[in-house]
Amino acid sequence: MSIGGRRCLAAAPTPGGAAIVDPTPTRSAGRGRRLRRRSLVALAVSAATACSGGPSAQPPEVGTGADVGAAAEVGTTAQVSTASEVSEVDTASELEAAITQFDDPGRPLSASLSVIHRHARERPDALRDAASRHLGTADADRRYAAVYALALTADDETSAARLREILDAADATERLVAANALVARGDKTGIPALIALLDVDEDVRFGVPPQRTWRAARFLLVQYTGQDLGLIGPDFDAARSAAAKPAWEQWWAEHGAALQWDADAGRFR
Amino acid sequence: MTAATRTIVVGSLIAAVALRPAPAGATTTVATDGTTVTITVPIDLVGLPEDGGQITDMDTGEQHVYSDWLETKGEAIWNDAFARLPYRGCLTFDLDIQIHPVRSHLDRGHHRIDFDPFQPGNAVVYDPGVDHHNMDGTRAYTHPLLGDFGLITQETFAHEVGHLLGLGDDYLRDADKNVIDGAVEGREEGTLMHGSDSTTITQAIVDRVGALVDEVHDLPQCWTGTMEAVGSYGVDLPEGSLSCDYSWTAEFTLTVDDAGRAAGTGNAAIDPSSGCIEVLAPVGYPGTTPLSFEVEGVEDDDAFALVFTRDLVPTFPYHILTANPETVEIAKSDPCTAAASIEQGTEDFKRQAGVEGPGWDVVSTTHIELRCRADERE
Repeated sequence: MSIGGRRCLAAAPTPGGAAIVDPTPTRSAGRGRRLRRRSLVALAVSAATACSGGPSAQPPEVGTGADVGAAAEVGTTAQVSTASEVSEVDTASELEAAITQFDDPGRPLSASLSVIHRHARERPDALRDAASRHLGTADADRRYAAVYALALTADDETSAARLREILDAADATERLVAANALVARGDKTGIPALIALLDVDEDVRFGVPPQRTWRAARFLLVQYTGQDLGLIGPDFDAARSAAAKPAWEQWWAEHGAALQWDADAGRFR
Repeated sequence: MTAATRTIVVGSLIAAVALRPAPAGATTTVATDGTTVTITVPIDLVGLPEDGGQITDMDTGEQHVYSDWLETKGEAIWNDAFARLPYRGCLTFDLDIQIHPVRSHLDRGHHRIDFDPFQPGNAVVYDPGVDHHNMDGTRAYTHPLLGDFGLITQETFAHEVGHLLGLGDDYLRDADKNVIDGAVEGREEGTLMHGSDSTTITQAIVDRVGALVDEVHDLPQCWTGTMEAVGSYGVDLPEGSLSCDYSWTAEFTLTVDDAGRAAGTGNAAIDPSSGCIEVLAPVGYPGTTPLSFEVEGVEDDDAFALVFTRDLVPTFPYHILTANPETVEIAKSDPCTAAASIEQGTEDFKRQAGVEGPGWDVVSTTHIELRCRADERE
């Protein structure tokens, strides 16, 4: 599959945050620019060029209109503030809140996800740092939020290494999130983790809309490897997915070491 | 907030989200042509490669351009159901999804979805017009909605299109945001809006879409009509004169717009036991073949004034249907019922059919009834 967007690592920070509503439409000069997806290493090398306005940089965005970045959250204290009034402390606390308030019982799941996505677009580096601080928390929901945020922002080898560690997590959803983030960036270490999930017939935690773990793993494996091995076909069910697992394990054992990421095709070959 | 309230508050649509003023634009639009209601959903998919990306179809293994594939699959899932399940019994929705891969945000009124393959197949549409994710709402028809999609399946995409048609989720989450068994009261499990594993769209879901569209766009009212005719006519043949008894029935549907303009189509069929069918078939009489016709006219508070037309001749013995261009008055007995009994004789038939000369000996009674759906008038 050849699908992907990529954020500019050096995108200028955009003021505003979870508890801030700027009623004035503004141009989104700070929103991350998108690049065609390439391998993790290639992106890291090219990031500085892209973000400094080099040949890879995309044109600046025009008119933002309604902006999810301006969304206020339910269950938080909304206040109106100008951009200049936003301090670094506020920003840091908002980023922390994106993780620590993820499981706030009064907050809709979509609101929690929206905040993480917005920060991932506007302050990927800072969100990645915040996520990294909470990866070890014992609170499963907050740990999920941290993994999710890291998945969206893992633009360096350090965070990629953290994602690889999560592949051994006890929680299947955390493994799924990490594996997806890795393979989508061309890191094949996520593939065996996805294969291992083919017989996990449970809901993806915080799946929106709800989805089964095996179904998500099946979809990703086919999209990122181009292989069938028993996963392609109509009216698919959990039993067929589980039945395909041995063939995939064998395929990985035989071909995993030789797999190469084809950045143009957006899949492993 | 009580635990019970929280149960339905969490979910995939942001509640009471404050957004910057949305630009005026296309959003989800509706156009009505007769009984066809076209719903257009324009989506800017921000971050998707401009070539639309590539996807492997999970059913066939075939490669497709991702944006085209989403359009095709989304339309097929919805339009298959819309074709089978008309709204109000007469209106057929036709969904037109228009996905535009763009590299940056454009302020042109389209729904705007940020695409990010690094999230694990989630898809969220944020609707600030509803209080919780289970509620239906009309904001998609008046404002662009925003969202975040990962690399998603056709089923998940079709579910999200449901949100862009104004539908809320039918699944439930508990206070811990976990999906729990059951569905929103009065809705069904195992449907497209209940999860991401099913493409089942029920009449109830179509009716919810229809109610939302109607709230914003005032869809035409639907009426159903029946006709029952009995009578006799005389025919002079070389072998001698015949007196032919007959009966026929017809059913038709009418849409009536806000201006009172009525239009519809129907089918009529003669009772096979009617006389003279075999004798007259060789000279072009309709026989027992069902006859399609069109009807148009106007409606006011007191009555319909309709003209029945058709493009087949001869028309005998469908007297009312041959009355073109004469208008048939059908008086209302209440806002949702209209009826008329029309007696026709030889002179009426000659005038309507434009024939002259002796004979014919027509005696005809045609009873017409029209009924609307009661809930449309409430």
